[in-house]
Amino acid sequence: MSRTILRSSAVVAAAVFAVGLAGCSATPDGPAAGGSSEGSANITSLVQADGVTPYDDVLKSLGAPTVPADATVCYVTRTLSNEYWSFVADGVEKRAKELGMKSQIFAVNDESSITEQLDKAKSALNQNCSILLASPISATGLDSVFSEALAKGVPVAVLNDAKGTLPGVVYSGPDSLTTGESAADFISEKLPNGGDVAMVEGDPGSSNALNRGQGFKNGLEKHTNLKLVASQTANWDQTKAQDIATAMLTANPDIKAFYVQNDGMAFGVATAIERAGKTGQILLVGTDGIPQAKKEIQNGNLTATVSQKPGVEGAAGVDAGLWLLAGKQVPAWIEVPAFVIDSENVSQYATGMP
Amino acid sequence: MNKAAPVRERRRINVQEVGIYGAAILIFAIFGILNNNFLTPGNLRDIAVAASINAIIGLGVTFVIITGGIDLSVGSIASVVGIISATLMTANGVSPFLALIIGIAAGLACGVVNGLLITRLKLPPFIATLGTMSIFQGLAYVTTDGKPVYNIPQEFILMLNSYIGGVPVMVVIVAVVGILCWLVLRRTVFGENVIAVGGSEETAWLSGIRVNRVKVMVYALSGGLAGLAGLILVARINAAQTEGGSPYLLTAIAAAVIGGANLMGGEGRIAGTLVGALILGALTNGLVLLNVPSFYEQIVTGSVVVIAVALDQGAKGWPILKRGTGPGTPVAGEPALAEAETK
Repeated sequence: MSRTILRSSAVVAAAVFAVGLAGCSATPDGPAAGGSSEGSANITSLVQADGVTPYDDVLKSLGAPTVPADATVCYVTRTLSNEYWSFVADGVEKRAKELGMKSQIFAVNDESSITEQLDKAKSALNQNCSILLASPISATGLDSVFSEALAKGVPVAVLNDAKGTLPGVVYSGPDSLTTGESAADFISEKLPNGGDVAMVEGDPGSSNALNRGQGFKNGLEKHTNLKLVASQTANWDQTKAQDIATAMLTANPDIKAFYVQNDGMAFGVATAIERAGKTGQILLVGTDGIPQAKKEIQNGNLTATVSQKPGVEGAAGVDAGLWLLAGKQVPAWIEVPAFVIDSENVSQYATGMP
Repeated sequence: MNKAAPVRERRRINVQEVGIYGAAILIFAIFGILNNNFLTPGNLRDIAVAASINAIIGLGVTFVIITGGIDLSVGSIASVVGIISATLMTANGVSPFLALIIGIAAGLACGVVNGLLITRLKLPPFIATLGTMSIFQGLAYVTTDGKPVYNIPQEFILMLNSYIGGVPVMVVIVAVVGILCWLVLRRTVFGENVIAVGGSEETAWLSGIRVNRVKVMVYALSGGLAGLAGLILVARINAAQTEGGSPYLLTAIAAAVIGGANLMGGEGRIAGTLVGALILGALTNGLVLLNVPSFYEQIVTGSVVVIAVALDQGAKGWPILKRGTGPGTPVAGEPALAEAETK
């Protein structure tokens, strides 16, 4: 008898999973449902589809934004164990504080937590966010939440990575193609006679890795005396980067310069160059401009880094959301360009990140 | 002997079920008290959706764990299946429905490979699936050169990630899969054989169960369900990511273990795994609502896994403390053996 009861209770439990928890809701809002309501149309129509304008210019023309009462900006970021995202989060928090509004940060465990980020973004939106900022791990991963937010009249801005295609979403960040290209330009300037160069790539699935790599290759096409002899992924991992660079130096002893798609990996490459006894003889260009990279530039282990401006990216996202809430037109891409830091200008950016 | 055994087992399982459900109710109640949004229908639905992929992978893993094995390749299978089906749809014009079928079949095939490595080459499950975890992940990278696949057809997304009258399709899928798994495990000879193999492989073999065949089928089931989960993942994020499934390996095993699956084999509960997945989903969701920083979240989640399993052990009377004596001793092999004898 009680076996039967037990069995039925298991079936009931399975059914509860479906009906009890899920079925009692009255608001269907699947990914296909977004984008039709009035709020969505309002916000979306304010975002100028093909506009690319530097943040400084937008700020000049629209002026500092005003904050509605009780406004909260929510930023769904990636893992804070990558300090880059902490700097973006700091930028959001600092700008919110300056303008007198509340801010909340939502982070995930690691760079592969795509659905965790999606679930957290959904939870965040349920917490009365007036503005939703996000740095999606996968370019389309948060689209369903973005649609839901826009439908509720909540402005959405993507910070730094993974510029998507959803209309109405503002992008604040650099052009990763230009970032990669400026690394090629810098190397060409330092190596007027040309030579062999190598690239260490980030995670092959990441849009930043794809675009920085493409941008670097585009840059090399302009400088025909530079030859890309090796290019491999180290999945944003410092140790892997060291192993790969060691192998590259063994296979191609004539490598004159490395372009590395983030600073963490560049530290690994620096160790490989040091072990090979070639510190100072090989140019090493990183990307991001994190504080440790600047120390390494001062120490001579790193030649340069193509620095982004995470704090400005965060602030631009906050401003974009507030401008949209105030009914002002905002370009779909607020550009926060990257710039090269080397031994000449490193003292100007001694601490933190711009 | 045959009369006494079922009585013991009945009591043991009943108390166990209370252990895990009690923990679940406690967790939901605590979050409900701490945050007003937590117990709203919309949020509970979000939790169920968040738990779905984990639940489906966890159900397959539960079968494997019951046989005393482990499947470390489930995350990679989810990734490679998502990549294969998405590529077929976007680059080869395969219809979404066919891509779904091919995807599940590919997952089954991956599982069969695991099963054959374990039964034919006599590799320990941990080693065999550790190897295939890397191989299947590599296949995902090779298929698209590491790049994600975008532009997934709308029909595919609607098929797996839409809402029918407010009920998410993927939650319905979990319910159906859950009921089917329960029927297979508790109402079929195959299910009894699975439990018997986990109780004692030797006894199962001696009583005429084709142990190798049962094992291959169990890993195939695990692979097939991981494949299904990989397809749902694609529909959730509108893209196939080469490493999309990797975070689910440990959480799916955690869901099964929270739900009462014993890594030593012989024990595991379908409803328990579903509740385990719900608990993990509720934790992520609840801690976000409470605005707990993500680093602390890991500590809380880990602690809850430990506490939930400890509660479960407590409900069983800490069998580990009285090893080999009294009613706490696992007897899972016995009923199946009894039936095998009477056949």
